[in-house]
Amino acid sequence: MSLDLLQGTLDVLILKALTWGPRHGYAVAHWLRQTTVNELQVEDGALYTALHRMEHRGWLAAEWGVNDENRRVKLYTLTPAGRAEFGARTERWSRYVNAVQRVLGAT
Amino acid sequence: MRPTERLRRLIRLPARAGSIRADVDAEIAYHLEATERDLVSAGMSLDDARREAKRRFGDVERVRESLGTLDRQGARRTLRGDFWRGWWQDLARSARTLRREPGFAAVVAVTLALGIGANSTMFRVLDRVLLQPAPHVRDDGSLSLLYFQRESPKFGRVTYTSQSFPAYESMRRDFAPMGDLGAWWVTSVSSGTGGAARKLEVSFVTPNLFSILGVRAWTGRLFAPDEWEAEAVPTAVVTHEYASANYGSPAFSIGQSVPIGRKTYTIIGVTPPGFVGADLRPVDLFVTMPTAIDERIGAKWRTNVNNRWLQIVASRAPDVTPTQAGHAMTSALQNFGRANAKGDSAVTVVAGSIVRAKRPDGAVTARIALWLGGVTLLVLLVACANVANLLLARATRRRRELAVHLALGVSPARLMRAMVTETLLLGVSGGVLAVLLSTWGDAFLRATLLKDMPWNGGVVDARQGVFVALLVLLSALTAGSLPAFVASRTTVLDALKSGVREGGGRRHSARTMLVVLQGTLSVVLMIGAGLFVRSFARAASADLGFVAEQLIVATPELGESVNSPEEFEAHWLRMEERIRRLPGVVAVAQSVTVPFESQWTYSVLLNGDTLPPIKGGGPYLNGISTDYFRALQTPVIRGRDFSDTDRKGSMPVAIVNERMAAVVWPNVEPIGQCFGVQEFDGCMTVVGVVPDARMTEMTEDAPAQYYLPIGQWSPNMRALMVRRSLEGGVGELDVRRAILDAEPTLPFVEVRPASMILEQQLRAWKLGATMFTLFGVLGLVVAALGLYSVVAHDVSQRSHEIGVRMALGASRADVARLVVGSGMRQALAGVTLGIALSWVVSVRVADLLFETSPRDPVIYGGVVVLLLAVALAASLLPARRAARMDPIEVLRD
Repeated sequence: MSLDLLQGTLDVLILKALTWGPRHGYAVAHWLRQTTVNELQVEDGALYTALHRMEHRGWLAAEWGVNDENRRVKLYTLTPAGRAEFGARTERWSRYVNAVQRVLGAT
Repeated sequence: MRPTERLRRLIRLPARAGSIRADVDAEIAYHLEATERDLVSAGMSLDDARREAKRRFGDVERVRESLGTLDRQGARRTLRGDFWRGWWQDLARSARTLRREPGFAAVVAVTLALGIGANSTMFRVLDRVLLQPAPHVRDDGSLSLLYFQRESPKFGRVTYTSQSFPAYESMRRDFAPMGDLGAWWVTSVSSGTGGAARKLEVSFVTPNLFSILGVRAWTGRLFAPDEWEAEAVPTAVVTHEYASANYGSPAFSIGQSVPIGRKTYTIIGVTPPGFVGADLRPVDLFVTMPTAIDERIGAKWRTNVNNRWLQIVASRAPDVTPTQAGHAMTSALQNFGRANAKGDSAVTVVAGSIVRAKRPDGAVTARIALWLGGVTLLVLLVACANVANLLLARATRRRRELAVHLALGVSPARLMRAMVTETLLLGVSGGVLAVLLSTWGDAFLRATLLKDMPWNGGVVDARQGVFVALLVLLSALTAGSLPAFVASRTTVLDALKSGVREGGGRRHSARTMLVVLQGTLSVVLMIGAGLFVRSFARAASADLGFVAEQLIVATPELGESVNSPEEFEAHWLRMEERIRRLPGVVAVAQSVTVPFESQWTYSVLLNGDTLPPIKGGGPYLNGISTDYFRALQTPVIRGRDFSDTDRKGSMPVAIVNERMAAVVWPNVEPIGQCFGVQEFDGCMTVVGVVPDARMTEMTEDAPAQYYLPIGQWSPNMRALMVRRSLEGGVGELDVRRAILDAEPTLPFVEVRPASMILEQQLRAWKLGATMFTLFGVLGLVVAALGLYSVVAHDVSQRSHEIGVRMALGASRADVARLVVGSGMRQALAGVTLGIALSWVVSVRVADLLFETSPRDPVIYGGVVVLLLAVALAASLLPARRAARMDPIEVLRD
């Protein structure tokens, strides 16, 4: 069974995907699919919408570059603002998970 | 990255709509392709892979659409951000650049500050005098001041502002359905007696005046509209200024009593700060007419139709236009006139603007103020031209830097914007300085032009602030756009080619033009200064026909405590005697009129016919005691002076001035001739002739005058003329003390030197002379600096050429001549244009001048010489530097 994505989670996944350096959209999608072993259902279109939104919000910087096959691809990089956002979101996420778990684990 | 893409990023050009769509398409296409390939390599058939890729992506078209929208919005935001960031960058960069050149920045800011400061000060005056009603007067367009116009064959249309009380009442009654009328009259009244007496400006008002003008009490209360009849204890309303000056605070004045004339008033209220009524004449307090007007106008003031003394303001109902109101009141007044006063039956009433300076026949103050406004605008123009010049010079200096910017892809428009920002920054600093300057300017104007004008508001009011901001913007654009334009057209190649000589030819035509413009304007200002200085000098040294220095004029008011004419004369004799005993007094005399302050005319009859009007005016009549001509130091040039034997009952005699003699008895010996006077029986025999005297106004022609001995003509109007010896010793205070010695219960006694009265006559010329000279010198200095900077800059640009010339054998004198010649050519062009302009324009001020032709060759010549001398000095300095150049060094560089 695959899971629907919680609201706002896609952003943090994308930010995570970009912490290792510039990637194009396909690479981000590919990485997500592999890492989650298809557990999370993300439409690739939604991924691109999120990428562009975050670009204009200033969390990502986009640049056209050339890949190994000499194809023109749009590369996304984390900006300092994006990195800060990622840190904040990760922390919030952990606190959320911990809290929920404490409740569920209570006897 | 495509090279064009890289370039676009480098010069920060935003993406265009077409490229946005292409980018989105490319991104999606690549994604789908990559997914397909991965799926195929995982073992899927090509068709399945394609389907699966599309499925994973979702609605391709919808995503394409929303990505496009997102990117377009983003691009717009970037563009906007860039725009504002650009301004901010420009501003920051300008500030940095200017900090590096503090001298340049200071010169420009101060130049602009002088121009803008002068204008903002003048604006304040014009605004106060021409644009706004008096302080605190209702400004909703419902008020009109009334003017009365009568056509007369001799004088054309005569406009006057006063009306009799019965006429006012009748007009008010008839006008009632369309609005209301209020009236007032301001006069000086003595307050208190003896040594404690002083003079107050009292406005006698109808009680409804305050509600018509829409003014409310600051403290206490104002007169109720029906508070009309005189009460047992009369009440007064005082102005804020009077209350503050006399009681410390307006609140403390309520309930205090003030003696005015022969009555004592209780203060019931205070008007708001600055309020003086519908006019701008200063006022200390307001009382209702019935309380004391009879002391001034006479007991029959309610019924006398021939004494026109009150000013009228009308408030119109919302739907009544000034024209309708004027028509209604005209017919009301003419009806009244037909029944009661013939003089009023042919008068037209004009409901004019509430702003007094906009009176229908034009006010002199308004004209002078407009002229001064024009002059100050000229100063700003000179300042702008100079700033433009400095900026141009700087732009030329910075050509390399600008060319580098252009070469790097900065658009000329952007470069122009950066330069205009710089000018704007300079303009704003100039504006701030100007506001500081104009506070001094205000004080100066208040002391000169607006001595008698109430002034409200703080240092700078909102309207003035807006005006200054506008001026800053305007002058920055005026001064900055030409240099910016020239700079933006810098051709990259020329400027970057190293070693190329600059200078000569067309590049400097703009700067030369500006220098010529400055020269022209300076000439105009200097000629204005010359004309007014000369007028002032001529007027100040004009032959008055009497000597104003060491002459003291005292005007005691005997009031009505005197019962008979004999007693009246006795009082005056006693005062005269007491003053005569003062050491240092040469002569004391009684005179009915005071020079420049009061005149008396009765028509002169010759063989039963009235004398036709005389050029220069008159004949004016004065009654004098025997020592009058000695006191005024006017020689009796033919015949004899009056003596004590010329009194009631003896033969009626007169002394005439030369003008009257020449007009009435041309080519005939006037002594022994005889003329009649409208009010008197019989005939006055001329016993003496005195020189012409200017005693009514400072006009170029002296009026005709005749004198009667005070023993034979004794009206109640009287003044004392005291001549003191040159060594002085006797002051105004001594004279006042002597008068109060003789008459201890007198109300306020005004004692002034005659020179003070004369000074008021000269005020207009003095003001014109001061302003024009001030601004003229300012303009000249600025223009000289401009010329100097152009010539000096020229020299530094042409140093190579000069070096070559010298190497080829040109002497130092040749080089100096070359430089000075170019400076003088520009100056000459400016002078020629300026003279031509002045020649045309100056005729318009002809009637403001005194015994000075608006095209006076001496002044024009003087200005030419002065300007050329200044130009010579300004170009000699750079010429010397050019002549001292070492050709070897210059050519080696």
